[in-house]
Amino acid sequence: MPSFLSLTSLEDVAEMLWAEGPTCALVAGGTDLLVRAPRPERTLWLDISRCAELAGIGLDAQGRLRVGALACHQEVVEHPLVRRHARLLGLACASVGSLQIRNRGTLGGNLGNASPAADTLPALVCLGASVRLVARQGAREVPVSELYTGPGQTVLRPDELIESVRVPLRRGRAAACFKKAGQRKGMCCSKASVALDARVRPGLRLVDVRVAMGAVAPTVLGVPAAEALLEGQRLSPRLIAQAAEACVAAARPIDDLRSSAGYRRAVVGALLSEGLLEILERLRRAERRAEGLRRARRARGRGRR
Amino acid sequence: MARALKVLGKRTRRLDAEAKVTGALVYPSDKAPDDMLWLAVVRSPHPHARVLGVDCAAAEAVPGVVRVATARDVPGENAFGIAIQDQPVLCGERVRYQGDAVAVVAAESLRAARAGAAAVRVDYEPLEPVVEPEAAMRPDSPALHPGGNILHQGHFTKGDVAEGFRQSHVVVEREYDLPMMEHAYLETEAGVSFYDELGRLTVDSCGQYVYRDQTQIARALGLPLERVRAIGAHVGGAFGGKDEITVQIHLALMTHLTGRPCKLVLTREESILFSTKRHATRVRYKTGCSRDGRLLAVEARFVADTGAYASLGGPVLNLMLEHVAGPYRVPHVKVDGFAVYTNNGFAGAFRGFGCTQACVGIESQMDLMARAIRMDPLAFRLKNALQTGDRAALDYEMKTAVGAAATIRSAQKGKLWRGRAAWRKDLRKVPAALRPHVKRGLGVASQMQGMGLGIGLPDYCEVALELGPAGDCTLRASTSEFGQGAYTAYAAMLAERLDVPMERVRIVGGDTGLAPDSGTTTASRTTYAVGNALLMACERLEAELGRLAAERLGWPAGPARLRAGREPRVQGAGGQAALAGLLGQTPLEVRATYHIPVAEVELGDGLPHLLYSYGTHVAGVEVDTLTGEITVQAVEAHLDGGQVILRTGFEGQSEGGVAQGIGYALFEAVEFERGRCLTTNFNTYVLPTSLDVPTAIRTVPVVVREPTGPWGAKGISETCMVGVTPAILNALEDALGVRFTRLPVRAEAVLRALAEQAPGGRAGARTRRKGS
Ligand SMILES: Cc1cc2nc3c(=O)[nH]c(=O)nc-3n(C[C@H](O)[C@H](O)[C@H](O)COP(=O)(O)OP(=O)(O)OC[C@H]3O[C@@H](n4cnc5c(N)ncnc54)[C@H](O)[C@@H]3O)c2cc1C
Repeated sequence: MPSFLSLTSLEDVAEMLWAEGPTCALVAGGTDLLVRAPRPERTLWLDISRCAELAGIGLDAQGRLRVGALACHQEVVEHPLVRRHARLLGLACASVGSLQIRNRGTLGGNLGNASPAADTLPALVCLGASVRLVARQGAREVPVSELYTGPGQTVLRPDELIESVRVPLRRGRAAACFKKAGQRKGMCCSKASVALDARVRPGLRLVDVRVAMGAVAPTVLGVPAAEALLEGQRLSPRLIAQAAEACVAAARPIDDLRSSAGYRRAVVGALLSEGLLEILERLRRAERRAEGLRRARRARGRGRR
Repeated sequence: MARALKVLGKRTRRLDAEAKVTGALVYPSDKAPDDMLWLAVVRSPHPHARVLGVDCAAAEAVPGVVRVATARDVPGENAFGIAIQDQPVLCGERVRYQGDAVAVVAAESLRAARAGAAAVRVDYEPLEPVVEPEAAMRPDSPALHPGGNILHQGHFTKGDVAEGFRQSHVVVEREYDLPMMEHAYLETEAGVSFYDELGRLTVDSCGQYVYRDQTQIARALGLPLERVRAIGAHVGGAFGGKDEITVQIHLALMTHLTGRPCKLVLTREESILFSTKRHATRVRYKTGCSRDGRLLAVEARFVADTGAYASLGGPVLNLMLEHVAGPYRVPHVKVDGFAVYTNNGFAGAFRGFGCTQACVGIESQMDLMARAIRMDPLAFRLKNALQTGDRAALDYEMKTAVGAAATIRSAQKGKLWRGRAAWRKDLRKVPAALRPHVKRGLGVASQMQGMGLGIGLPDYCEVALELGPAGDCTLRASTSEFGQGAYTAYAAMLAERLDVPMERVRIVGGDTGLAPDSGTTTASRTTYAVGNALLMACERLEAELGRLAAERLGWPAGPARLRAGREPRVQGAGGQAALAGLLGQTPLEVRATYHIPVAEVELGDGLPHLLYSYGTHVAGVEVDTLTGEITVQAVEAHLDGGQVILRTGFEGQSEGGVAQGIGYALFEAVEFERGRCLTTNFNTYVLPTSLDVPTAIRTVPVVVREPTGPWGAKGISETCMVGVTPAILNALEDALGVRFTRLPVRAEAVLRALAEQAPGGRAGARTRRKGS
């Protein structure tokens, strides 16, 4: 049986990890840890859930969004800064588990668990987020896209922990979608997931397009080929189908009990298609509305004349 | 003219609602007698192995361990099983599935018990597992039991199917592959054991029939029946999965060996590995009908994987055979069925009890035939619906009220079916951009389900009714309450019959020490059987009150009725008198035994039934053809339960049945690889959640009174689930033009089928049409 220790300051946690790192398992919300116990050599369960320094959502010194490792998914979903500047992250967090899981599971835990199916990872990769890692010897930042080396494997040293996630603010009109295929409609891990983030330009165009997929490779996977296809081009069902094909081609999924490789490959394309078709519909509607306004204004102008 | 009903058929609050919501109600896993020991069971990790030796020395040395028991410590017959006792309480020579028990450890704490169990050294010689039922049936297969691997087989013919197919305009042939299903009750198998105040070895646990548990415990412990007491009143769900012995004998054994109270709660993994399941079944159907929609021939073959031991595998197979043609009239029938032993877990009773598998088969066939002759699927079913006086599939006469046609007509008149054209096109909730990729479909299925145990098995129900001087009633009936609301139904029936407010009724159930033998809590029988028994008891009570009034008050002979009020009174031939005055201090107790009527023919164990419940389901599905995701959007249940006893309970059963039917259709499967279970917890055995069950469930009571039922009532606890699954399959074909024959239908299967259906794909139907 492992022993359990609860520490309330980041400094003490870092000290403990410095001394005992390889035998420690960090406990945040416990929603991953209690379902699948860590390796037996982790004999000390180190509870960090009461470290105030790891909590909270706000702006950092460089004006980036800072989401503390202990922020739970629901906190992220509801936070105004996330809604305004990192909508995609909110969409991904909203898809996690159920309200109970979202109230308990943390962003740091989702990252630290390093599951290929973790739902926030594709969103964070699209948003160009980094994690700030803290150790007794000092802190460093690692982009989320470089954090993982394999399923359950990160570049974290045994003396490090995730302090927070930093997300550059997105300004201007954003288009975002997060889609996942699960075994059921709630309380489930992804068979496959797709995230997309972009800026909207007139003429149904997307720029700064980022696409990433979850659960179809050993780690979260960006899809540069799909991004290149979409970048600056006028969205159309044809273009969408091509981008979806690029996702299918990039996927490197496996067969397991949750799904088959064949399905995972097919469905990432379908998920991107659905997300983009919905975006296209919204953009068209917005253009029609804008066009309507323009026409109304012109008509009013004529009337006055 | 029947009197207007005061209590029955209304939306009533359950007697146990408050206790359940506040947590005051104590379930078997909550119980903790003083000074108790915790148990842990050592189970086989192998699907099939010889046990060469069991070494308990290390386990006995674990601090806190008090006793370790193995096969040698079972004092009576080391075997149990409802129908055939072929499963060892503790295996001494051979294990036949992953989960078979080899030893039990009793210790001062749960942790010590588990450490002790881990320290028991069992020397196994793994044997080749038998995993393919078809192969297991062949004489060259290794035999799992002395009589070979065929536990039970049944063969029936009526008319001449070859002739039937010759006359048919359309003949449809399909094979269905149905998975093993887990009951997934909220509370795992659990209980405690102790010596009660009369020195009886008592097991307070989770069974579905305490009197049979008592028998099975006494037999294994070599004790006379009266030295054993079995309790099981409030249980956290059962669905048939707690009908067989689970924890009872291990508990009794360890209390017997240590003299101390014991407690055992199975983990979810143990529960899934060890307890009975719905039979995985391969079902083959060939059916034919005339051009104008007369069902002419049904030929079927069932191979049910019964797993390692018998339990109720035989009777389950018999119900498949009995319900082979659903609620339809058909002149030519041939059916063959086999229940086969393998090392794939262990199958037994589960809501539907064999009808489930037959219903998926015949209802899929009915739809395929209706489609082939371009007939409306409900009109086709109605045309063939059984009526009282018809001969059933196995060639006996349908003698009682038959609600088949009534439920089909009710479905025809239902909102969902009448509005079907608009419903199929209603994609308002789907984002406009995705509408071209979303398909909707509606499907129907009709079903009948034998009620009670059927002929040949003792099916009686005794109750005791006590009336106190203050006008309060106590009903003692040994059936259990799993959440279905049975006890509230009893109280409602008593309140209706006796003019006693429901709050003054107390139910004492599930205890061989306190309640007479009311039979099993299974087979949709409880409300019907207990209801009839309590009606008999009420009549006796009134006769007895009259007799007392004659004796003590000098009233003329004749029964006396109870009259409610702050001061309850009796009214009879001599006028009115205060109940308290008449009874004095002593309560009045009467008993009555009801025997469920059975058929006149006997075709096998429990085969056939005399009484059936009927139901027709309409299901509406929506399929995302890009991702393959299926959403059940609406279900309408037209259930013939005769008179509704509790409206809320009726609807609750129906909604639960819909959820379980969706699970069977789209989600659930216990999967094995060479006898090893791959889905041992709810992370891999995926159940639907509330988000996967439509909010639009409409339950329509179709009242076809059963003359022998209490107020004309019969059970619905199985019909409410069984038809849901094929209705969904039929809705899927309506939506996609694809016939799914393998359950569960998951998104993977949908995309695969759509790819095959696409131009260039390889889709083939086996429907033969004359002249085409
Ligand atoms: C029913 C259910 C449904 C779920 N559904 C989803 C879903 O839809 N999508 C999804 O992505 N996940 C899902 N999960 C998984 C889980 O809830 C999430 O991954 C959650 O974010 C984990 O957070 P936690 O705080 O509970 O992590 P914990 O269990 O406390 O920790 C998880 C891992 O991360 C490590 N860790 C925690 N904090 C840190 C830190 N600050 N620095 C370094 N390492 C750390 C821990 O040591 C551990 O290895 C589900 C889980 C359950 C039980």
